[in-house]
Amino acid sequence: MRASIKSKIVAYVVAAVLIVFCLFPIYWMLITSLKTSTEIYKIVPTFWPKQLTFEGYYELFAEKGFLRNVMNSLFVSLIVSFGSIAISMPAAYAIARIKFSGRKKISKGILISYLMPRTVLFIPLYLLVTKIGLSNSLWGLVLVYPTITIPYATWMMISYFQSIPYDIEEAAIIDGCSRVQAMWKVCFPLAKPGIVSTLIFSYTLCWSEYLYALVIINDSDYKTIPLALADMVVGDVYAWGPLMGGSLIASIPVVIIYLISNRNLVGGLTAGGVKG
Amino acid sequence: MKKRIISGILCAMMGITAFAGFGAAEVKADDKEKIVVWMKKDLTDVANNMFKERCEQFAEENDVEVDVEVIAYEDFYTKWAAAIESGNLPDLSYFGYQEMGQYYNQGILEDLTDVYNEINEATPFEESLKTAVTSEDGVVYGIPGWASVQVLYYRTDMFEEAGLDAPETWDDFREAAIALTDEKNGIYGAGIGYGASNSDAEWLTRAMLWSNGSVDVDDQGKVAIDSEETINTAQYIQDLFLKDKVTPPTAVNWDDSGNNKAYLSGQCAMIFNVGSLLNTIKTDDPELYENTGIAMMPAGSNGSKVPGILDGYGIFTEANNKEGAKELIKYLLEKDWYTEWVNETAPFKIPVLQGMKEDEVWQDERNKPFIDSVENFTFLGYPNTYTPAASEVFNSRLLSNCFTNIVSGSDPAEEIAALQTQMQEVYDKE
Amino acid sequence: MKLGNTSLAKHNTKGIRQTEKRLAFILIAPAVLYLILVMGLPLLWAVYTSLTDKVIGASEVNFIGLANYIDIIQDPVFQKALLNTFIFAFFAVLGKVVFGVIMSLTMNQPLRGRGGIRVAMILPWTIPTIVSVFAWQWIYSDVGGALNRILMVLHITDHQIGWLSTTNMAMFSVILVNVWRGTPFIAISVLAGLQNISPDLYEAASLDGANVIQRFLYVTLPSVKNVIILAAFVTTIWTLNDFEIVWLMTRGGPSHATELVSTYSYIQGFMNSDIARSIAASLILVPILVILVHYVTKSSLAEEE
Repeated sequence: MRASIKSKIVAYVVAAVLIVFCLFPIYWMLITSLKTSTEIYKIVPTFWPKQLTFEGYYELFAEKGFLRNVMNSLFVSLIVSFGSIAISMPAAYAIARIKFSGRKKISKGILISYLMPRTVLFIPLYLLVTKIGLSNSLWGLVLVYPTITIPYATWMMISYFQSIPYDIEEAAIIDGCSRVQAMWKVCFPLAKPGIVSTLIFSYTLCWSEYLYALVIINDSDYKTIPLALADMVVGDVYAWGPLMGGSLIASIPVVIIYLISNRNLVGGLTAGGVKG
Repeated sequence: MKKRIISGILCAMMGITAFAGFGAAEVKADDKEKIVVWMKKDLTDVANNMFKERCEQFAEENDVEVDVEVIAYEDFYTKWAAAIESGNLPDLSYFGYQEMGQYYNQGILEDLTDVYNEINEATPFEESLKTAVTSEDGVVYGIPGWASVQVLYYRTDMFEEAGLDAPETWDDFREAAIALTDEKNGIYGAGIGYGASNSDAEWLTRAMLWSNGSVDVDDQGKVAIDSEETINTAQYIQDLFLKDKVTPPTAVNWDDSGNNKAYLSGQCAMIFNVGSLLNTIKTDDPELYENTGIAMMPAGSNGSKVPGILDGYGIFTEANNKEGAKELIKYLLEKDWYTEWVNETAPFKIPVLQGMKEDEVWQDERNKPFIDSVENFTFLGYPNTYTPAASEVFNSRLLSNCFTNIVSGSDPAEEIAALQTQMQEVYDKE
Repeated sequence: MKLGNTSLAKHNTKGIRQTEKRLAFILIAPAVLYLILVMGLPLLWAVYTSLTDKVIGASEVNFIGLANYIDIIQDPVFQKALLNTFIFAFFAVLGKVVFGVIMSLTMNQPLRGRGGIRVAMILPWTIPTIVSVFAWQWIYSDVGGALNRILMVLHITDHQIGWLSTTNMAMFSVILVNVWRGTPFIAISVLAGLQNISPDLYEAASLDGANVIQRFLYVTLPSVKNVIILAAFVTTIWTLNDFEIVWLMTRGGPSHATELVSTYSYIQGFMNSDIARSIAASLILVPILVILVHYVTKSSLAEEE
């Protein structure tokens, strides 16, 4: 019992340290977004604004129409993250569970396609998008973003599927399930925490993508959040209030999605084994 | 059950956003002639909107459609690269003169000599600018849009207290910097900085070099940066950093906002920057504005040489609607509207048309040094005409990298010799 | 498709294998087709372009073989960038994995306010990089900089530390930002893996008298090994190709102290229009990564017979 109290204390201390490390820069963004610009530029920084101003937030929504950008980002990120999971999940299952020739080659190929940096690929991908006639549209982003998410999602899910003991699935097959049923009813539910975390990260990869969006989108009506934020810097002049405030607001939808799916992040075997 | 609720919420969210997306993706089906414009983001929304409105007005008068996209300068390289390679080009684009030269040399920019001459006849351009947009064989490939220039920002209150006048030469500058530095309290006289990213430093170093008689290339077009004059200037700069210690210690790796921060916070008594900072000070910190003096770049043994920064318009040879774009350029340089637009953000944009110097806004003591600097404009590749190689030297940040080493303590003569070799390599490629 | 009523005894017969194989191809086809259609040509284009003398906008393109590669390898700036990239990636990935695993274990503890703790820890990942970098710049700054201020108030230092302006600190500073941003990814990925460890295993280990560390080493670690390796691998790719953090913070300075292959490539390609050289510089890293891919696929797809 004493050992467990001790380890609890250790856990709290570690959690506290990590939280400070994670949150301090975000705290800094928050107070910067609430400071007047003269206060931002003080030699000795203030750790809480002397004079609170919400000017930046007002500007963000009233003048810059930030809501539009949030909607655009939501649209692209939701479609792409769900779509990539739908495509990657079966592929990952096949690679993790079914032994067929060419399995290693295909899985290697998927990873290798992931090695090319975006700074190289954006030109040919833009060419492609233009040829198809999707330049300057959110659908153009929907077309190219899976190049970022599919290889990632497939591979992460391979590892999650593998961590589920094969016996459970085999038992289901013996009980009369077909392979597809076993996949659908046993493997996927058990891998739910992995699937959800992959989904969240696929979502955030699209959410903060900048380079492809920059070249594909021209019209300010279709600009995503990162583009809108970048617009708040003109040369060496920064609109600190809207910039910092905007990026904090940009993180809210991700947090909401995280909270919605939080329950699904625990589960699997720890939640009590297989349900009938 | 929970699962169903969650998926319900997600579906609803997707529905909403899908609606938003479809709504936005609505295709306009008309076959009006179209002009796509890529414009550099202006300092204020007001100025951006003035530009857009002007384009709309043009669209109405000529029964065409004009699409204006406002792009931040840093993003232009990427956008141009993608556009050029895909052939999906804007009809009219903003360029800095160093980019126009590079692109013209590759044969992808239109000859705009006629447009230039036509505008020049109606309202003459400032004469010192033409060389920056003209090729060696006399083709004008870019139309000047507006200029900007670095000037000296100095704290009048601190100067007064120390009984000093605004520096007119680089020696004055050094003296003042020493007098104003108060290291104990973290106050430094000279807010000049270097760093890999620093385009301010690229311009400033050139100003110091050129005004002290150093040249990039000699008469035969050979790189001649490795000279007595360059090494002396390098020594001067190194002394500011290491011997006199009149610059903040972090200034060895500032980015472009480094000197802004230093000045706005009161850390530095003097800095060099373009007009945007003055606009910022005016709106954000009126008190500092009152205590800010502006002066032209100090002079050296070779007089005052100010590296001109020229922005303008160019047209890609492969653009769809070149004729429309040409008309639009002329429309954008009609004097009445042009004056109104440029003066709106004075002194950020300096007019390129003659005869605006007398406007009231440029008589302001803080704005005047900006427009007065135009006479002393020199361009990359000085003293020869501007060449693409000169702009590659600029874009590679060879100078600021070299001087970062110097102000960190490397031997100036050795570093300049190395710079000579690097520049030579770039020039040999052309 | 119908595989129902198969008994394990029949599992290895040829017919079943055929059906299984067909099923595998059906499952895998959408992902592979998409990647081939969308990525195939761009990849070939990139490789081909790196073997030419193409500059942006040039109409005439000549095949010059490996000249770009040879040229780049001889460039001292590139050599430095390559070395820096390895240092950067190694320490950043190491930091992210170590902190990430610790973070995931903490998140998995039944602590009070666990939901809140998890959200707090994932936040760095949710902020768009371009802006979090600006916030870090302020934190590192000498004017209005929080970090120096805190260290000075605590009397840890008596002078301003040039976090981004001295050659030895700059690399550390950009790695710290990269670690800060990337740790949640490892943490959440591993957290998901932790859910598949059966509590029985811990109980059994406890009964055998294993302490916390032993339980971690012999129960936890083996179970999430694959997830950690893959998450680390994906992170390695992201880190090697990371461009935004370093570019926005230091642009590779001071004196190339933080110059990476990605920033080098960017300067070549976009500021100097030399697209072929730019791509070649990026591709030099690929063979090394392919070796890593080989290792990763080998270890995670080992036949579990």
